[in-house]
Amino acid sequence: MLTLRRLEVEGFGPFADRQTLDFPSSTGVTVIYGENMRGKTTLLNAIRYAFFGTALGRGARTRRLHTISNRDRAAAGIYGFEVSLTFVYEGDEYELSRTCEPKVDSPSRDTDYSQRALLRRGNAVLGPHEREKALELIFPNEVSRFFLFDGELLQEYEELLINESEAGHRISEAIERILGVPILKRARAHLKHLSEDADKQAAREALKYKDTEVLGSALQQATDQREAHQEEIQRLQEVLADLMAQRSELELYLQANEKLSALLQERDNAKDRVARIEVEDKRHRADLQRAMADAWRALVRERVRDARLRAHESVREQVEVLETRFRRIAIEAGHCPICDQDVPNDVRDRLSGTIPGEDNDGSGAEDVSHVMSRASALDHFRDSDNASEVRGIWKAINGLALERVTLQEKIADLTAALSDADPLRLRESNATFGEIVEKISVVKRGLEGERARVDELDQNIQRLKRKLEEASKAGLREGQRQARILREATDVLSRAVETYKADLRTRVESTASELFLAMTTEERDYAGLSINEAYGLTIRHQDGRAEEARSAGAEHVVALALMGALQRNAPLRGPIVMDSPFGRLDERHTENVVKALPKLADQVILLVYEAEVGRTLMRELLGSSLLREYELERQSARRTIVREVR
Amino acid sequence: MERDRESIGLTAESQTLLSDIEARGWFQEGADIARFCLAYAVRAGVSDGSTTGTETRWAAGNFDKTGEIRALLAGLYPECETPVRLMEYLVNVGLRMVGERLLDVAVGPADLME
Repeated sequence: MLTLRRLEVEGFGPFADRQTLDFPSSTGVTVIYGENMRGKTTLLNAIRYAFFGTALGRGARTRRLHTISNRDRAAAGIYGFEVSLTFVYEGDEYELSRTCEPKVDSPSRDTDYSQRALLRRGNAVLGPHEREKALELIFPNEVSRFFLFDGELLQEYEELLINESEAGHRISEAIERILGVPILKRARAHLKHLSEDADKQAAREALKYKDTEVLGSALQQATDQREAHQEEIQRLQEVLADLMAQRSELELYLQANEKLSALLQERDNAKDRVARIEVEDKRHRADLQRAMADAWRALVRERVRDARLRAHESVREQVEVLETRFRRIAIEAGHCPICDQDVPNDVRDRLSGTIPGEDNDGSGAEDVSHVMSRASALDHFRDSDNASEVRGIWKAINGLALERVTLQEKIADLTAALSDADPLRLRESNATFGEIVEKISVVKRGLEGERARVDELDQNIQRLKRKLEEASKAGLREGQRQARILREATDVLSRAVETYKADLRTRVESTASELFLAMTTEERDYAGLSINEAYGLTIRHQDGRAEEARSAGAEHVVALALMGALQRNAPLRGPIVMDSPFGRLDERHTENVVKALPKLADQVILLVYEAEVGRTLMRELLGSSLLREYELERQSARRTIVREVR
Repeated sequence: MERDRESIGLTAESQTLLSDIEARGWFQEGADIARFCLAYAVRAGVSDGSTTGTETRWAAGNFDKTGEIRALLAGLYPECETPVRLMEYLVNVGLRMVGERLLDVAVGPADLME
């Protein structure tokens, strides 16, 4: 059992001067009130920093040490901070202090700091190795999520209901860790190993006797093969664990940078589009230049058409004048100058009738030649009107220009929004994530194959051992008996692990149901919670059916019920430190949760702002379970002091 | 009879205008701009005339490789006996006219054709 006694902080976040919070030793709730920006989350982080040397920001991102230093002190050139935590574990009092000091005058990066940790048990200061071992035993980081949490972390428990969810798998493992399942699993593995050693020993013994030599040899071969495959399984498991850890780390990074990643993707898309616009623009401009080379024709087209009409009219007129002139010669001379023949009188009379009254005898042949060549010149003009084509191309170019300007503005905005991001790392992480997922799949397939092979060999080994027992001499029987006992013990422990897990699940389900019904406002309609293999909890209605859709508030209450149930059923028990956990809860749920706080753990430290629950109401709801109240009082935007209220 | 020119030149002002239009990237080369401006002037009904103070830019044969412009001008300006001089005149006048239109930044190549 771990109980916090005192927390001291200095230079940590808004706590510029040394501030101390004493936590009463009796069972109950300590409440710390603070408005936004006063340092509630910082206090949660101070406890986390004391135990693990890290602090978390939004999205479970690890905060940079440099950003933790009090800004008021930093402005005066004082950097670094110190956190000291006094706690009791299994009757012993410990004092854990962690200091972060600058190595340079004006630090700007985490590497500019050095950290020091000190753990005192009673009057003895533990060495570094002993200190880490003790801390791992007292408060393992993997289970810290069940003791130190905020609303954001509570949301993650929904993952437990999703099959194949990596986050859910991680949480399930942490739950088993806090419930003590790994100890049993390790014991089972150890017995299995001893049983396999006994098999090998039995094979070696059998080789000594002629009657059993062949069987012994087969058994030895089979056990050797099994060992080789088990070693391969071991290797693949290590590879898989390493890959899973890499994936988890990347997943956390990508989740924490999800928004930045989306912005980066958006900027990349915008840049790609701009690049495509450049290509399209170039193509359109080439088309425009080609079209404009011919555009002069469109400009003169109408003038040419009019001039052409006039020229042809002139040709017709001038030809008529010429014809009249030749007729007149034929009439007057009685001889045709064209065909060089005489014209009879009757024809001359008839031609006289075709001569118009007014005759312009002027320039005849010369004018005809002139206008005909003019008409011919105009006829040779290649008529073309590509105005609509030019208009279309220009419209497209303008459209692209507009789109480019819009995109460039967007890129500038996105670049500003991404100023804190590391695009290269984000891109690489995305690519690496995909590669790791693929590798995990390959390794898992490999593991399945290896396990199937080990199962086959196991069956073969059992068959050989049965034959060996039948053929055995008295000297061999003792070794075989030992091997059988170990094998049976392994089987017993395997069943015990499953039974223990099932029992744990039943107990967690029962406690969680009890806590849930105490906290929900729908206690008449709901029968309780049902637990799945991964410790995910589903709300069960009185009619026996599961509530498929549940609100964010209900989700929160279920998560809190799980926290309390784990606390009450785990061998490792400690304080619950909750930061503003009421954000998604309505008034009645909030009241119910406050009332249930003493049931969640022996020691509860609640960080809350008064708009969530006022002091009067808090006192009324908690009664004698409310042990102490602190408030975080503003001195300035960068300075907060802790004041004991009651 | 007046002797025709063998090349087409631009005045200093026309040269500046041509460079400005060239910079817009609407035309592949200066000769395309000049032909366009010539046609612009023809469409506007500019009469025969001549330009002084020009500096040679294009040989007439290169400017009108197919003889199409020469034929066009012969058809539209039948009295003209010096087509190259007329081409030069129309190019310079056309450049001035187009340059004036382009003072309005909203005017694009398609607008010039309307």
